[in-house]
Amino acid sequence: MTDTRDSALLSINGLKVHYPTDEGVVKALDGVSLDILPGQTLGVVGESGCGKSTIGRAILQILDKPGRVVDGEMMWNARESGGQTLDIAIQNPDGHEMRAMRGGDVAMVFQEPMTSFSPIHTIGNQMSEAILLHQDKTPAEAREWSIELMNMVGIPNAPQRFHEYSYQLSGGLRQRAMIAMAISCSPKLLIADEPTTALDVTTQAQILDLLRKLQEEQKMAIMLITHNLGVIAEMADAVVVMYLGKAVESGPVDDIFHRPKHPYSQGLLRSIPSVQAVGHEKLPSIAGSIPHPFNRPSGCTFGPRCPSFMPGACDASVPRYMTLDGTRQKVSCFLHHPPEEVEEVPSDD
Amino acid sequence: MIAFLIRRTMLAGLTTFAISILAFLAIQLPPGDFASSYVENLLGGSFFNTAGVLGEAAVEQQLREDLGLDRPLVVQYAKWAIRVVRLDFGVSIEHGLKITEVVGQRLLNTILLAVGTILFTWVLAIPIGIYSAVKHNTPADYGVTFVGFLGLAIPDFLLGLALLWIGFAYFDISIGGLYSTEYINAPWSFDKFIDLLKHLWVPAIVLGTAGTAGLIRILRNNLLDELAKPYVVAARARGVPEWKLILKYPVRMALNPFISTLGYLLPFLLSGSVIVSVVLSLPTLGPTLLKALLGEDLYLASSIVLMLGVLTVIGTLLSDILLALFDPRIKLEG
Repeated sequence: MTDTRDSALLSINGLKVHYPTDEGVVKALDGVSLDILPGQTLGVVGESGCGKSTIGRAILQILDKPGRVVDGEMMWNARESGGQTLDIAIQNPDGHEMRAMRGGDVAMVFQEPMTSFSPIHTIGNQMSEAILLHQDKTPAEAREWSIELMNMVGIPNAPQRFHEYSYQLSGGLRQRAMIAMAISCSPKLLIADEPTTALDVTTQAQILDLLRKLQEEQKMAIMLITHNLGVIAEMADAVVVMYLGKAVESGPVDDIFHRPKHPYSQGLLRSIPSVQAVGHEKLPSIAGSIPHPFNRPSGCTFGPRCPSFMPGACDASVPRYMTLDGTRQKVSCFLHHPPEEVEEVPSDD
Repeated sequence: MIAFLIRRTMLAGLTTFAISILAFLAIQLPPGDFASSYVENLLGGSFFNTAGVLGEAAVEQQLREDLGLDRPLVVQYAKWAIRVVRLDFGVSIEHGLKITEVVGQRLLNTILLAVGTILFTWVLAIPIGIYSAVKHNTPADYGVTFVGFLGLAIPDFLLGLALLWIGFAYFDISIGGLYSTEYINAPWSFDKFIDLLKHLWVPAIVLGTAGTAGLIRILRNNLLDELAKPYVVAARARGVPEWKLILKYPVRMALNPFISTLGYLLPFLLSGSVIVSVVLSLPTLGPTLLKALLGEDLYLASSIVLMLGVLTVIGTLLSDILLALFDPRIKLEG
């Protein structure tokens, strides 16, 4: 565990993001830990509202108001490039370090290619903007580099597209332009927040291929946030499964898909329709629904929906998130490490 | 873009034509015609004695022939329209002067006041609106909102009276009017312009307060919508500094309604500012139009309506063109 932390590009530990509202505090992230290794793809999966998008925004410190990081650390390892290790969690969101990081070392691709470009500025204007902010280039050089990037991501007629507006491009082309903009400053980490959700299936496959190709060329790490397990299986090296603002299981993609340990991961995987499935058979689903944010169950938050719920254990304390002996998986479930092992339960709030 | 310009200009021409027909018809509305009311007025005024020399009927007949009042309505309209295009609007019964002389200076004053008011409104409303949206739901925002509602709620003529009284009681100056007495009939010069600026700010504040408060609300709400849009988050995610980001993206989007309402400013100022103009004794067109209507001086009234109509059409055309330049999406629809 310590060695992955040392070699990680970004190591997140016990990250908590809270949204204070009039009704109470929404704990969007409630102690998430994960490591992103250089050049690898980490898939982050979970249902809507589990906080997976919040992680991406927390890394860039662009949380929607009134959300803020209240606890935990995000260690950015800049040693490779000759810098110091930087704890993103304690940086001023408007400070120089964070602005240099946004779009520079860490870039982001969003779910909605339609609305992620300003409708009244040209694609080229917005691409050049990112380049001029982070690189020592003249506007003419930025334009040249933008057109080269657009060629690289497979946008035809790049010099002409440079002067067009986002509504003149198809959804797939827009997402390609978004990716071109994201890689314009050679980021070490690309956060892709549901990059293919708004696209049709053929375009999805093309965009995923493009991301993989660029990752090989640029040697960047990708944090792929999605609810689509198929996309994860195709793209990711490692997976983190999230539930209600916490990581419940993580490990190499093959281990998670073939030997899931947490009942929630097992349920997610069972709920994928299979080509070999017998017709007219009901697709298994996870019982119940996500608890209300102000009414979280005590103990293990998945308890009330869990088929292996153990009264007296699961509702009494929170299982620790730890590596299973003999595997490369981490899991937080009393099925795998009995409650006796957990003596000092960190209080849930 | 060229096709858009041509289409819009032609539409503006058609609208102007329609306005001119309405203005012409308004002249025909009262019983009798211009000749009879002119003669009646002359006798009533009795400062003009051509009528005594030529005889009432002869003068009336002469005028009728001159103006073509005995010909069909279409011919009358054509004759009138040709004169209007040559900027000959006829004579005002009430003032006994050519209408261009009555209106000219006042129209210029009205336009100057409109420009002054909109500058005051924008200079104040835009930064406050932006600040209020960016800091929304903070004490600063609540403070601005409160002052804004006050501005909306206070009748502008009351504000005018209050300013007049304060100026008179505490500073011993009279802040009514648009020019100092020595400049009223003086030809335009740099000194007269400076004198105008010294007077213009009072009515600009009085007339602009409600508009400023309204625009702050509109801008704040537009901006709040835009600030939550994904393209703003995307721009933030590529490291654009916060203030630059807000000014470049959402503020530009939120400004569209400002530009599109430019054209309506003139008629609004005219009809909304009559009381204020009377209170502050402003030499603008509002009170003139009111008096012309009360006195059935319909040549004057419809000339004013026609001029303002045409200016409004031009204003709307300009704001449409500005909007098309400002927002690339509009060309497709226009």
